[in-house]
Amino acid sequence: MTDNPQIPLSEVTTYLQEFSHGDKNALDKLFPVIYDQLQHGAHRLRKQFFNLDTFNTTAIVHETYLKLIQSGSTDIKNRAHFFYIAARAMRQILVNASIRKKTLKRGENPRKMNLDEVDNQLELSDKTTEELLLLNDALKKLEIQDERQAQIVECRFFGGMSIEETAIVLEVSPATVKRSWSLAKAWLYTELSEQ
Amino acid sequence: MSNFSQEDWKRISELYEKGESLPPRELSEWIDTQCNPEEKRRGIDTYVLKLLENAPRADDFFQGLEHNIEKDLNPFDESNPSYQPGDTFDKFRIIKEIGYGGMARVFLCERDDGQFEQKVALKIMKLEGNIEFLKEKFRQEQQILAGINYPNIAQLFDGGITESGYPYIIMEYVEGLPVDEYCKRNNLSLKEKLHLFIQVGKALQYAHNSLIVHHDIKPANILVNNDGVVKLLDFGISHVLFNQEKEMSRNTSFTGTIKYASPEQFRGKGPSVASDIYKLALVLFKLVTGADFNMREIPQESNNAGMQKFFYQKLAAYPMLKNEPDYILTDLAAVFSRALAENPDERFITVNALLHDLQNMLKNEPLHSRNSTLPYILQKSYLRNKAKFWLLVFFNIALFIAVGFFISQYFETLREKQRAEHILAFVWDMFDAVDPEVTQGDTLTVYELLETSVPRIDQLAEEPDLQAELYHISGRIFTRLGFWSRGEELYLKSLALHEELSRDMQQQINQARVVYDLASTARNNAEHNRADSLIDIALEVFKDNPGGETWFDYIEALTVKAHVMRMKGQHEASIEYAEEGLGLLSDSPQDYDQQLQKVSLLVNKASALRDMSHYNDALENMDKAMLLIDEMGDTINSTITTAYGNLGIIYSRLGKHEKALQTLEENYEMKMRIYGEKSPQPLITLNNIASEYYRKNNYAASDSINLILIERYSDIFGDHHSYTVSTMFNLANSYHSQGRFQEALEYQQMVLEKDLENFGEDHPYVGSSYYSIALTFLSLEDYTRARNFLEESLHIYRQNYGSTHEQISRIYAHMGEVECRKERYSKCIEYLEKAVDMAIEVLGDDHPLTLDYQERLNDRKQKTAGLGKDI
Repeated sequence: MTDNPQIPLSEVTTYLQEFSHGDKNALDKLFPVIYDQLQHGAHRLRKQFFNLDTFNTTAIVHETYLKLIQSGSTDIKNRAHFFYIAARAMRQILVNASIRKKTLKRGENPRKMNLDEVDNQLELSDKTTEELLLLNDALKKLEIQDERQAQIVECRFFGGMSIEETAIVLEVSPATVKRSWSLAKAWLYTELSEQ
Repeated sequence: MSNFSQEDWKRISELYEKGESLPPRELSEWIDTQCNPEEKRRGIDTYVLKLLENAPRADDFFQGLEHNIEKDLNPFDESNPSYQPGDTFDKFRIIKEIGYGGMARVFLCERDDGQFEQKVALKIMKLEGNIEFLKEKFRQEQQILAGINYPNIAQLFDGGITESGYPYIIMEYVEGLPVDEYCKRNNLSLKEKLHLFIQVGKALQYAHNSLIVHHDIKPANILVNNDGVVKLLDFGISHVLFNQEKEMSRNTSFTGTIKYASPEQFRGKGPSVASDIYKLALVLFKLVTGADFNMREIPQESNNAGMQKFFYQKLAAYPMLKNEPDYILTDLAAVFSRALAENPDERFITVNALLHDLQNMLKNEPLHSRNSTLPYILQKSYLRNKAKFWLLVFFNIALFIAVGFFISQYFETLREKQRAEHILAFVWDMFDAVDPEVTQGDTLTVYELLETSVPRIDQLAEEPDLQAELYHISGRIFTRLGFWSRGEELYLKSLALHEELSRDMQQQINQARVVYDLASTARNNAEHNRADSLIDIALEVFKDNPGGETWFDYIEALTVKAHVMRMKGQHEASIEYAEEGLGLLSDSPQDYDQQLQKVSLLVNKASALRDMSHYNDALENMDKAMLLIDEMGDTINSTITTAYGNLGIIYSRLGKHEKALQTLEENYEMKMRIYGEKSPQPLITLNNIASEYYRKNNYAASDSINLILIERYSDIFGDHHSYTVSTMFNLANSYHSQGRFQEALEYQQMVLEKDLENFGEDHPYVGSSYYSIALTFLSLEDYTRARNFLEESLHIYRQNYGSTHEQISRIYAHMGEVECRKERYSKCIEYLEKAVDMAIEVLGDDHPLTLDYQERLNDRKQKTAGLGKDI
């Protein structure tokens, strides 16, 4: 998933527009590009982030957005959709990194990875890995139970999106997002704590 | 446990939502009343209760996970130096670690030598890269920071690089809370918060005045102690980091804190005043609303009015501002709409401008940032200053009357037409009479007034000649206020109308006047070829007019022509045009306008002479100009500031640097008074000031001014503009002098490329570019390339300046150096002799450069004699 994005970067905006107009195929085309860019973004930022504080997933998503989308060329709806896809991609990246870490630890098939992937991988701690995988499993259950709530978790937690942005993408009111986000967290935690 | 039906799930959501707003201890009782026995049987009540009880822990879990991911992404290298309580560092003893971040650790220390009690903060940073470069950078920064002594800025005591290569700083230890915490804990009112914020802003403005940007403004760097005194921390540190990073990587660069980052920072731009202002406004937002501002929420492509509306709605929604009166929200929204504008150019120009608006808000006075309606401005202006108010009203009335009279000229007498012209002339004079008190402070308001008049002109399509005239006048006013491109737009509209009008003599003259103004604008924009062809058209018309009505227009046009020719590197032609103008003037009575024109022409002639390195002749002409300025009494205008600027440069060329610096600083202040900070005019003087610092070997001051200038110029004019390029050229020279040759070469090659594009191959600027590159190669000991570039440069200089020129003497000296390095000593001596002879001729025998060449020559001769033979 690291090489040859299927669409040129210059067309990201166009696909975003199609996606925000309801063309779900556009999502399939955009996802790999954004995934790829996020991963590179994480890698690059980590090398260059001369920050007195910290940087986080929100920062990576943001940086990637600025990289992919020429400033001022998209409207707020497109932007929100970008962040939504990025949020899903970020979830995937973190989960993949967790799985890889676990696999490596067990010594299973380390040769399957190509160099590029090794270069890009995130070094997550044991605790983070474990929590992320648990959360991912619980999230899968929530997807079955209440898909929208799961989407809200993706937006808010993995994409660092605001309540307003989440509301735009999921086409619900900000109040709904706020309520569901609280319930989803409580539900997920309850689920996790009983594992 | 979670296997509920869709219907149950809906019911659970509903109950959860209701239960969320209840106090925890009432929950179990409450849920009991909510569920019927069937629901209880299915376990809905206990499940909802569990969810509600888990909610706070769920928040902790998600925050914890987020924090852990963040931590994994920012591993702090454990190999970094860490100090335990009791360890010593320099003359300090570590008390404890007080801060920990991705890239730095902070320790509280006290003096170990027992001489006196002093607690300090030691901050150690993790850095990679060229440590030598860093040491140098740190030394420079410390030099600048040492100059900061301000009660609200934490003092920097010392800094350096530890033995293991980590940069550290020792600064004043401030015991206090971050400003946002402080406001929250003490439950400050909006007014109290604003007063606290103004303290912060003033400290930042102080730093900006010393040409230091902070670059990492955020609540954590703004502490408030128990006495309510604000202290800003970490000045200039990020600047070092930015430079370090730039040096390491050519890709996107980022320093500072993501939450408090400006939009341009995400695009890899370096520290700037505008960026500091943006961050400061983020802090303000946090203080007044209690929440962080998310720049992604701003609707894209919104204009200022849209931004104001957005912020107004946003602010109104915060509980913290619920009880504030509407005008406070409107004013705050106006401030944020400007301070948080995505485009740095649209932000407040200085921190002071922002503070000024806040202070006005506290006093209930009008804000500059507000996108005002005409009645609003008039009303507020009246309250503020009656005199200014009447001036503005009069402008408007005058414009109306003028329009009325112009229209009536078709029906009425010639006398009335003249009256109309007089009124227009009056309106124009009002703006021409440069009273900084009047024009500067109200520039924005006047701009807005003008903008409201333009649509009125658009409606005059029935009267094309009147329309053309009014476009022209409005264009001139815009130009005078510094809005060049808006002015040019109106000139072009005027010109288009003139094209269609009858070709009588008066029309032609009017048209030529528009062309003249267009030429001046082109000249101001450094579009010299365009300016040249335009001014030729105007000159032709003015010259051919026999009535004598245009003789003064002709002189004005000659001034522009002389200037343009000089800018094109044709100095002799420039002097000829200036002399033609001076010849026409000297016989005539000298009113103010004519005196001013004479000053311009003299200054121009002096500048051309200066460029040809005839410094004493130049000074003679400048003396005449300064004498005239004295005669003109206590006035300030653009011609006089130009004169001062030139005098400064000439002093500098004559090696009188203290005097030059003093003249330039006076000139800078004058320009700030006339033009304000928005105009490029004061920047141009800053350029000269930077050059003077450079000549005094104060590279830190010179470089920081130049870096600011490059950014400001690129933003205003683009990166091919001669101002931008010249500043890059200067910066390259400075790097060269500091031994940073690769950096120098990089800028020099950019300059060469742009000069070739802008001026063609034979221009003196291209000559200087070749010359500088040659010097860098010389320093890099690449003598062959050095000589090639010197020869290119020599060729161009000879073509432009003839065989005798200061610059040519320099080239000879360096040719000599190349030959010496190649151990061809007789050739070396030959070149050095040429250099000395020429320097004596051009600069005089006591000029430092002459003395330097002489010394080198003598030295070489002695050594050669010592060798006893030549090779």
